[in-house]
Order: sequence, then structure tokens, then C-alpha cells
Amino acid sequence: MHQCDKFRVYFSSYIEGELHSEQRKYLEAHLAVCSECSEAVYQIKIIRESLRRLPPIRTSDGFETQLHYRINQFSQQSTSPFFLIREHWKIPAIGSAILLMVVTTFIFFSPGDQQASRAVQQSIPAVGIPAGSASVPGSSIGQATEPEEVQSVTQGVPSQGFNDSLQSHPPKRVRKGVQLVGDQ
Amino acid sequence: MARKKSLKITDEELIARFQHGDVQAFDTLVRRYKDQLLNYVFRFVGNRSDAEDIVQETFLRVFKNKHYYKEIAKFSTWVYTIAGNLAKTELRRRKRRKIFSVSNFVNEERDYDIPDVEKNPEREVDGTIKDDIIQKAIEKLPPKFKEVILLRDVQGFSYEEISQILNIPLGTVKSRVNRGRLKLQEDLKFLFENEPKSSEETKL
Repeated sequence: MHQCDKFRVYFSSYIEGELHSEQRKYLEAHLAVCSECSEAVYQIKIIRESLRRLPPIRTSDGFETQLHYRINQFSQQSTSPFFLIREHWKIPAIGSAILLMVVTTFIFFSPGDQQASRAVQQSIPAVGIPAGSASVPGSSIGQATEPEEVQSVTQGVPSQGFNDSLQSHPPKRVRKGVQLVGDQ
Repeated sequence: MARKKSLKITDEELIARFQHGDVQAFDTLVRRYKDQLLNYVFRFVGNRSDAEDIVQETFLRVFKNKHYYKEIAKFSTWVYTIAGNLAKTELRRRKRRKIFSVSNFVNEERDYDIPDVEKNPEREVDGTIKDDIIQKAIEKLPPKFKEVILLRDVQGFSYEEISQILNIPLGTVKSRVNRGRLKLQEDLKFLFENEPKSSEETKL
């Protein structure tokens, strides 16, 4: 059966006379010894003829009348505005989408907005700097209280006074080595 | 069944006239192709009423889309492509319906069975019954084999034309025709087992 499979792919070409002479002889040699393949080729020929002889059917009498009716319906519909919208809805839809994208792009990436955002970024660190910064006096309660807080923190830091006390009262040096009780 | 063209005006000339507004040319094309297309679609879907509806829809699409036709292809190729696509859509629609309806599934399975003539040896298998059996066997073929068998063996198109209609390579067409015929032979072998062989055939 596996042997037959490689011959079966040529059956149609053989029946329609499309095989080269060598291929045809090769296949015919197999058909001469394989009754199953020989029978299959024979039956395919009969089936082809049967398909060609299948009784033709004809369209019904009212076929063309009904077709003209459908065409007229289509022609009438195609002139109405609703039909035009339904048939060509893609064009305005795509146009609206493009317009929306352009407007959105303009809003988010326009040069005026970039300058405004830059100005906001510059104003943010100015609020956090306690002294000598460009803060507006009395602009808000939070800003007014911040310098005082910073000042109170700087007062608490051990700065010059602590260094003076270190120099006037140096820490006692601890003698190296072990002091025994009998040393005194 | 082949496309006989007794009239001098070619299909391509007619569609060109129709594109310029001559509706009579369209009517001539309808008369030329309506029966051919009906035979093709009927063998495809197996139902005459559905087939006639599909052929009407095919001509309606030709009417609507007449400006899409370009003369690089034959008119017959174009119109058969439209009809074939509509027929395949109908089969897909039926398949979906069959999946969702259990009762239809059972009925349609019964309808598609090939009558077993071996169970009734006394019964005479006349031409009509044989044609019915062949039609059922065609309907049982997978669509990709069915369309090439119908176009080649029933409608008589060349392999090149089939390749253009289905938009598939020539080698694929030939391969599918061969496999479709083998499948049909497998399904119909019981019908032709006792056919008398001619002297030429017995040589094989």
C-alpha cells in the first residue's frame, strides 16, 4: 500500500495524458501488476465522465425578474443619504480619527505648553530653598514659616561654641597599659 | 456544460459596455452565465433554492462593483470567483448553524449519507439514483477539493483558469484535483465495481 501511494499522485496526470513517456511507462508497469491501482484509475475515469454527464439544471422562470427587482431596490437605496452613510461610513470615521489624533498631539506637544511646563519646573526648587532664594514674601503661610524653622534647626547644630569648649576642656588622656593596685 | 460563446461579442466587451452605462450588456451577461453559475453553485451547496439565491447575489455584486473589474482577467474568472466565495460563505454559515443546533445536526447527517446499494441487491440503480449518489459524494468532499473538482470535471475549466479563479498556485490546483478524485473514487467505488470494462481498460 505504501508502495502504491507514490504512484497515486500521478493518476490524474496519467488520465489526462500529461505524463512524460518515461513516467507513463513507469506507472503502467505498476498498474500491470497492481489490481487495486488499476481498478482505481479505471473508476476515476468513469467518475470523470459521470461528472461531465450530470444533468444540467436551469434557473427558474422568474430569475431575471427577481434579479431586476433586487437591482432596482439597490439603485433606489443607493440614492438615499442613509444608504450613503451606511455604505461609505469608513471615510468620515477615518477622517474623524485622524483629526482627533492631530488635535490631541497639538494639545500635548505644542511649544507654548513646553514653555509653561519649564516655568513650573523652575518655580518648584525655589520654594524649597530657605535663605537667599527668590521666594515671594508673604505669598503663602507655608513659605513664611519655613525660614524660621530652618533657623531654629541651625541654632541647634553644635557649631562654634562646641569647638571652643573642646579646646578649653580637652578630654583626659587615658594611660596606656594596665594599672595595678600596688603601683600607687 | 462548457462555456459556449455563440455570440460574437466577448464577455470582456460586454462588461466594458456595461461599465460605460449599457445595461443591456449586463442583461446579456446574466443570460450567458446564469445557468452555468447555477450548476456550479448547486453542486457546491446541494440546495437549489440557496444556489439560485447565491447566483442572484453574484450578479447583484457584479452590478454594484462593475468598476472594480479590470480587463487583466477574464470576466468568467471574475464572476466564478465571486460565486465561489459566496458559496463557501454559505457553507460556513451552515456549519456554524449545525454546531449550535443539535437537531439540525442529526437531520443533516442523515441527509448526507450515501445510500448503500449493497444492502438492496434487487434494487436497480438507474441514472437518476446514480446522479443523486454522485451529488451526495461531491457534497461530502472538503470544500478545497470540491471547488477544484467542480471547476475542472463539471465546468470544464483549464488548470490555469482554476488557478486564477481560486487565486492559488497551479501545482496546488493539480494536487487538489488528484486528491479530490481519489477521495471520490474511494467513496463511490461500490457504485462502479461491476461496470463492464472496455478492451482498452482491461489491458491495464
